[in-house]
Amino acid sequence: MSAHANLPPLDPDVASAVATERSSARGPNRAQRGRLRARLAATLAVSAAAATSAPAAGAMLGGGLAKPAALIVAIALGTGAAVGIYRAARSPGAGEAEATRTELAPGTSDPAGPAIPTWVLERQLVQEARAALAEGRDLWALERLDEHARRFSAGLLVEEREALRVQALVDLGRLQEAHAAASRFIGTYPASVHRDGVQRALPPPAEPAEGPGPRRGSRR
Amino acid sequence: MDMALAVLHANGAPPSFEAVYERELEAVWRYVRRLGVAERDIEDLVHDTFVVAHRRYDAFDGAAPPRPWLFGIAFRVVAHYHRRARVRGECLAGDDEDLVADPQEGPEAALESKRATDRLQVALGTLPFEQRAVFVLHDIEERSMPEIVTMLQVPASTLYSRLRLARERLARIFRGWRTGGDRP
Repeated sequence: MSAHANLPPLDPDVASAVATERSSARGPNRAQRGRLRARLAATLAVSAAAATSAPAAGAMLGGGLAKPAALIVAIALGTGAAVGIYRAARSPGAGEAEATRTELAPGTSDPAGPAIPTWVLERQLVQEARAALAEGRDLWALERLDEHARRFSAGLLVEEREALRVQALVDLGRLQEAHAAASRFIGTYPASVHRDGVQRALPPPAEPAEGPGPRRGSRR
Repeated sequence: MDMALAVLHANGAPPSFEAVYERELEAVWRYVRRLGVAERDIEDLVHDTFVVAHRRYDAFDGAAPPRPWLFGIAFRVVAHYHRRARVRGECLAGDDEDLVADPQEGPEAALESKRATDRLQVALGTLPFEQRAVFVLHDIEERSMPEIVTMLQVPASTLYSRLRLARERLARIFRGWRTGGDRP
């Protein structure tokens, strides 16, 4: 192939720097490994628990899951309950991001494994989406919102979820979808406390002369 | 590592997600860093990569090595991160430590080695993300071009052209340092 033939060889100094990089690049340190594992376990446990309609945490760890999440959870925590997972993610070493990401460890918990209430799982997903939006991880935020929609199509936090979806779509630059989601939201929840926020999230119309804009509401 | 996985494949049983995570974490971590992710953000993006991978794991071809598949996911996660940073006008590279060492000083070997990788990071930081991604995969990670085509879903001719531009630019920068010229 001619493109291949045109490829210049690596500059010798670049090649030497590349060799050094290959041999010296670091992976995660111990603290990062531990934190990452705990976070991953918490995230996957929420998805897995939601997938099985919030079973008792003990049952979730007992191998009843087909999903591989159970493996990670079990290894991360031994025989700990899912509430323990949340604790692990919230432990002092877990980093600042966790503080905003998960605030849902039930205050009193039976280490033997109480059932995780559905609303806890719902809240977890919505909070993760909100935290991700605040950190600029919009794609991840949208993923969490979709996960919530899959698990809790008629949940308690649908209204909040759909408001956040508008913001996520705007941040991702998917404006057409954002407008559609906003008008769906306002049509469904005309008196919502999130209504102003949803309208403010939409960027102002660019070309008044061109845009038909039948769905554009007054903003501010 | 890959051999252990190959054994599992030979037995017909795909590796568990847990096993894949254990084996590939370091490689994914290094790859994410090499794509120019700020030190403070690496953990977040590696987390996101493995969560996406977990969700798609049922669809993953267990007979294939997992690394290219994970790198493909990580590439998209990191591409979005860079896009987002551009929109926000954030500076990602060089904000964790002073990466731009003076090439003229310091004889110690350890320092020299650190400098070599730091210089490489600085030089890579001047490349457009698409060029950097191909260079990292082909010249640092030593992935084959057909693999990279699958990972990035970009035609080989485009990838070769990006790789050529990347190599030329890096050569120019290193040449400048060799002759005692300016930093990039």
